[in-house]
Amino acid sequence: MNHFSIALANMRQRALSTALTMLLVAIGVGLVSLILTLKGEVDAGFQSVAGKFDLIVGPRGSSLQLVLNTVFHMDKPVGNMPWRDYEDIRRKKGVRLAIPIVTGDSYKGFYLVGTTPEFFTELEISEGRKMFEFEGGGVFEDPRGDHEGHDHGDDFQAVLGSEAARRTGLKVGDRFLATHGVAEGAEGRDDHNYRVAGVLRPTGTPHDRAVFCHLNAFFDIHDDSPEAKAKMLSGVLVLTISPLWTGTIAKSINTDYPHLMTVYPTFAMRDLMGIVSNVNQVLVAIAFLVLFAAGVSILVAIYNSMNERRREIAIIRALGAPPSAVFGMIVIEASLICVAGGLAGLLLSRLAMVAGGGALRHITGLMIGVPTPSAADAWLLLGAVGIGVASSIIPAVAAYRTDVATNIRPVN
Amino acid sequence: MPDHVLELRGVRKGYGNGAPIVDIASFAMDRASRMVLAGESGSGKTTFLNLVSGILDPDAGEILVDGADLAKLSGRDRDAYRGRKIGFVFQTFNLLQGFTALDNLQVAMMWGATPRPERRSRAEHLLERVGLKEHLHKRPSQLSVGQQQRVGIARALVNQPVLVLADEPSAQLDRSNAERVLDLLKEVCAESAAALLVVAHDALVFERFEKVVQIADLNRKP
Repeated sequence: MNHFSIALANMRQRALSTALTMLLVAIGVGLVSLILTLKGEVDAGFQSVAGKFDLIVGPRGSSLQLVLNTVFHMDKPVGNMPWRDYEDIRRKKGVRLAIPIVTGDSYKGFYLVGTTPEFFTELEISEGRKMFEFEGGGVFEDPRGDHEGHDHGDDFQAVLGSEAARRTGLKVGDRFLATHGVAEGAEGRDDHNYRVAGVLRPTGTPHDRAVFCHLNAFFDIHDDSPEAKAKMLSGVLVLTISPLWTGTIAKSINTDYPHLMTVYPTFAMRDLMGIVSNVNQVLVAIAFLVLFAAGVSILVAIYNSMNERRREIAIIRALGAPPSAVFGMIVIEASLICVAGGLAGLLLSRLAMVAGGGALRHITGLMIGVPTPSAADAWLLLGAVGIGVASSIIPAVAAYRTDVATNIRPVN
Repeated sequence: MPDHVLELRGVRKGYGNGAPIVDIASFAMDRASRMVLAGESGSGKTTFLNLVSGILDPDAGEILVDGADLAKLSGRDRDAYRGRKIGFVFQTFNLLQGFTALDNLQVAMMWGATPRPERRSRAEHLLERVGLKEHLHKRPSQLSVGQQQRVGIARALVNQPVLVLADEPSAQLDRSNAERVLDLLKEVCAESAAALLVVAHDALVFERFEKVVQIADLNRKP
């Protein structure tokens, strides 16, 4: 028997009130944890996807829109840039890889992205580890023939991201009709269809939600449009041989091609996160208000129970406990409520992330992992205990001052 | 070791501006003795007990328990001294409702001198001694009033006090239960060599004790 077991017994005795107060603490801690963790995970997810490229080149316009369209397969293309500019950029000194991107079509809401096979064969998630692996099939082929002059005729091939394949039910060998435009319910094209050449393994990135085809297939299918005739691109993803080259290349493109802009994708993402961060701060403030309300609730719950506790406090004092011991018991009780509520809140936030992860993946394509316990969790828990301790001071002082002689009198 | 377990010298205590409710020139109780302090309601019996236990401070005078002057102890030391030297038996039992019988005794031992490893076995032994072997893990609400008071008696003795103060210990019990509880109280105090001071106004209590003192006789005449 010790101070903790007395506090626990008091909590058991007032189980309903204790449980409700714990719930409030859990909601507060859970909300703060969820918002902060989610922000961290989404930030990291966006940065990790965008950070795979050193530069993005595209027509002048919104830099954020260019990144969202070419890397995250969201939003509309900023505009068009000529193919010959891509050829120039590719040959620039310091450029290791330049991947052309053209967007504008879709299939059942999934963006159809025209690109080159290098997108799958050259991109790496880390040193020596390819970003893309195939669940089945392989990379699409050029409908205009390969380097050896083989012509694949009218066979337009496509590679499906894992999520796109799962949700459309398409398998290797299946055929589908693409849709002009990226809006839901856009007009279907019946002049050409695509055959699924490969399905990618999940990457936890927006690429899982895209359908890829060869750039030439994209142009050939639009062969009646002036953009296709002129081979207009939505943007170019650029990897340099060294970060030292990135600034030089960007400066050179900006100088030589006034109709183009260069975007550092990580900076654009940082700007995006900056905008989101304002909303986040409001949400965090609301969550902290809930935590504050939980603190007030602890104060009210314990203080209101003081009337029934005074007799027990007087008994314990008569048994030899000093006033500081009963003060400590109240503080320990509030702390235990906060620790238990806080732990429940952290667990709730993890459960919410598991439950909401699918929805987030549907919207952003990012796969959100459930984070392991971190120092931030420990700080949050400590903060909750701090609120608990602070809110227990008033009832603890009341306990400290309990008059033994008055409260130990017989009652009828 | 002093002869008297309890000694009062010139102790006075009053409330407000009225006459003091306790005004005792001298009072002493021998070690391991037993006595009833009798008096009507409002005669100052409970105030006397609160003074003797250090819960209330006297307006004047000295109160010595086992040779220590309570007034000279700091608040914290006085609490600790009370925990070690004095056992309480209350009229309404005053058991902690959220705790089992065994826990009630172990809580009392938190501020006594019994080493931690021995506490549980001592508590079990005492509860068995008062006939509650089968009820160690029951909460007060699961016990009869007689059983509750037996828990109260075991709790009063758990820290091996030199003095047990019992405030109307049989007032809530029927006659047969009251007789059993009073006999038990006398027995266990004798076994522990603890002095027993019972405050009562019930003839049933007076019959069972050799020494009955009227508080009115202790108080100085105005």
